[in-house]
Amino acid sequence: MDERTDAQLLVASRTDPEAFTALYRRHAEALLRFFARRTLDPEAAAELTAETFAQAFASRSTYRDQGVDGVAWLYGVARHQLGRFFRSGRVDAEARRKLGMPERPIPPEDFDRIEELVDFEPIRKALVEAIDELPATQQDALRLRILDGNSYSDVARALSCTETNARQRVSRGLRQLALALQERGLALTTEADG
Amino acid sequence: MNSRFTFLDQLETDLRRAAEREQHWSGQQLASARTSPERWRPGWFAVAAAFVALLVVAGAIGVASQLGRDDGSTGRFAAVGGAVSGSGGEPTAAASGISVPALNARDQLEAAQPAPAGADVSYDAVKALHAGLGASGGGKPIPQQDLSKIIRDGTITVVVPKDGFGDAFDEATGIAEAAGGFVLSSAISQENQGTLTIRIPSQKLDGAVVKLRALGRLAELTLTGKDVTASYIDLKSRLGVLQTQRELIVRLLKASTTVSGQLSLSNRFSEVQTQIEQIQGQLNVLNDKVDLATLQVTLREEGVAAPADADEIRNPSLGSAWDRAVQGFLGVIAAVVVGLGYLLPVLVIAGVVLGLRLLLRRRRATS
Repeated sequence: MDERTDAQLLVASRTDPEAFTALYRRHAEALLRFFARRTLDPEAAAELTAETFAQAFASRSTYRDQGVDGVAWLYGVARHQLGRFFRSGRVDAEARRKLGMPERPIPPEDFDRIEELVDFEPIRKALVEAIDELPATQQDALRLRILDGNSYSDVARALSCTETNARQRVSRGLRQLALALQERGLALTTEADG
Repeated sequence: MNSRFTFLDQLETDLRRAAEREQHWSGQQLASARTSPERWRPGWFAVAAAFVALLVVAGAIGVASQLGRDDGSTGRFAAVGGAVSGSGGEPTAAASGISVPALNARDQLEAAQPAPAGADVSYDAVKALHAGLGASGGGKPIPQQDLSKIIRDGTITVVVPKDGFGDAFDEATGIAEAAGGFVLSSAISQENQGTLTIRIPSQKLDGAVVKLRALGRLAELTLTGKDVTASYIDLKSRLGVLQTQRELIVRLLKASTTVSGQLSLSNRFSEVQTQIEQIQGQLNVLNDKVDLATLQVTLREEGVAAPADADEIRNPSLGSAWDRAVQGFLGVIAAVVVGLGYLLPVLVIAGVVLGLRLLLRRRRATS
């Protein structure tokens, strides 16, 4: 376990790639949870995590150890990415493209685990209200997946569509819900978030 | 990493590879630049400082270029004024460098047989010259003469050695007289400094200046040359026309038999005669000014302060101070603008080089 502070790791990462890896290992999962709880969308959360780390890596030389904590700087990059996502409705891939990083699909098993990061219970009630405003296909997908707790394969079977299609319906529905809940002023964050 | 997310493990691998790629291409070129973890990057202060430095350099270049221009005009002036250089070179022939534009035939005729200043040029004489030109058919080339009429003036200030003012003053008078000139006026102050206004033949002005400089240390020298050739030729031409008119009036007067006719012609004769005399007077003044240069000589003993502008000291004016401030401000702006003009090509080249470098870096990063 690297005992250096985040700021020291960021400064050292200019010449030492292992320092950035240490920083990544320290904050990757927390950042993923940060995005998952704000987007309610596992796919978007994973992509935002990848883009944020790519952006942080590309611009790590601009970080200066002048009192701003390294993790605060990292979450500054994350919030910038999140803001762009909510404005444009899609995740940027510019930093990953610049670094020559491939855009990888999210493995199916990760979808369940990312959703586990989001504690749906506190917002379940608000979701029921907001879910009525969604298109019928997305409503069904969300009910089967979120309220009934079915697996994606069961959802796909129930809706007579492919598993990918079912995942997309849930993903889009959740994104719409996140925006609807934001409009209602519901905070989807907890103290555990960065 | 071996987290519970396959995706995060893949992302870690991708980031590692990106880092390796970056190290690969920048390792050789940027290794030295990145050895220091606190690599310097220009902040806003550095950018502002660079901008100010650019303006200062531009201003300096602007001022230098203005000085260069002033030197150039002095050089040109020296050529007109008769080549009296500050370094003490030998004087050249006075006002020989000025060429006169081509004159018309009548002017050339008059010039070919110049009448003495103020002399009357008769109509018959002009007519005879015209006829002579026609008979020869222009076969005989009229010799080109230096027709230039240049009025030369100047001021010279010489600082003479201690207790040498009286001798120097006398010597200056002697120099004027030796050159065939005279002292028009002179004034001596109580502080061992004085001024003489001397008039000397134009062609001897440069020689006199050299001798006056030898009296002590040259503090100031200004020589001006004003070309009045065009005015001179114009006056001569008008004089010729009026004289022709006068001849005609005289003939008509002799032939006139009526009293009213004689009265009218007589009035006209006096008008023309008056105009002829006026023009002859102007020609006399011009000739005098051309023949004799006016030189203002100021002699001052070493250690005596140059006279200041007394009016300015007695009446300090806020208006003039403001004018000078505005002129100073505009002068600095003008110098900066001129300097930026000189720097612009350099800045454009630097910008292109910087842009290409950034482009190259970006391409390497994506490849």
